Amino acid sequence: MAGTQRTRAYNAKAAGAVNISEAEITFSAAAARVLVESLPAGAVILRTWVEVLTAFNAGVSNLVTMGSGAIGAGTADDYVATVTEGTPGTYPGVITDAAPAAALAAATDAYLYYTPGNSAATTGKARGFIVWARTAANG
Amino acid sequence: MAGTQRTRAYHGKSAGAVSISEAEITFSAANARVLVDSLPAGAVILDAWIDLKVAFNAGTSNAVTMGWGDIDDATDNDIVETVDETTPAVYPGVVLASAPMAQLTTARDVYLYYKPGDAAASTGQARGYLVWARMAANG
Repeated sequence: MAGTQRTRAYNAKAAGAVNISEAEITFSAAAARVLVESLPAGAVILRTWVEVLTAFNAGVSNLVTMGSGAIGAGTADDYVATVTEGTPGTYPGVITDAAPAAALAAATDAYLYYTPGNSAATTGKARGFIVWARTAANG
Repeated sequence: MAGTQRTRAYHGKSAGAVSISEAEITFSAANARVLVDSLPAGAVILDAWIDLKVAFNAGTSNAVTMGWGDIDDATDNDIVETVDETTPAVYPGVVLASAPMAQLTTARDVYLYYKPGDAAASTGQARGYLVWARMAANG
């Protein structure tokens, strides 16, 4: 695993409290993922984004995303899909004030993913953020 | 100082919890600032806005902003920069769902600022709001 879970939700067990969770991923030779948070059924995600701190230099198609599922899963970009991996900056997710997401129908492990491209990476560091809340009935 | 710090972060010391901080500033004869909150290194700012309650009537160039730095500092509008000081309304900051703000690399004292214009003010009241979270590693 090339990275680490950094900030865990302070009120993860408390329905109605807003939390933020954070993980960091760095470049790697193989595809990798780092757990951002284990979200309960019924949770609502309020906002997500990725901040690229150091450019990833693994050529074409080296990818940083945030979502759920196995490495290589089609759901790996459900939360943050569009990142310019070669340019440090902040990249918003698909969930915004203008486009809220449905409450989670099932418990979901949210990950930050890295997929190297067509050359060997020697640099790259990014952090992923999820603002979320547990709701009363947990689904 | 023309104003007061009103709401302090409930979870200001707790990584992974989301808090809101608030301050109020009123018209004054000289440049002024009021502390909204002292944010640690590594904090993320999720949202910010100014609610202009009473129009400021100090003529051209009277300015209300939110950010950091000394009074007269050019960085005083880092977080909220576009306010029509003569029209009571809510004015969003530069931190939006579509443009997340980078993690703070150093601790920042965030202030609400007022700069009078080319006439003496006799009215003016505004409140600034900051939604933010401390992160685990604090940078």
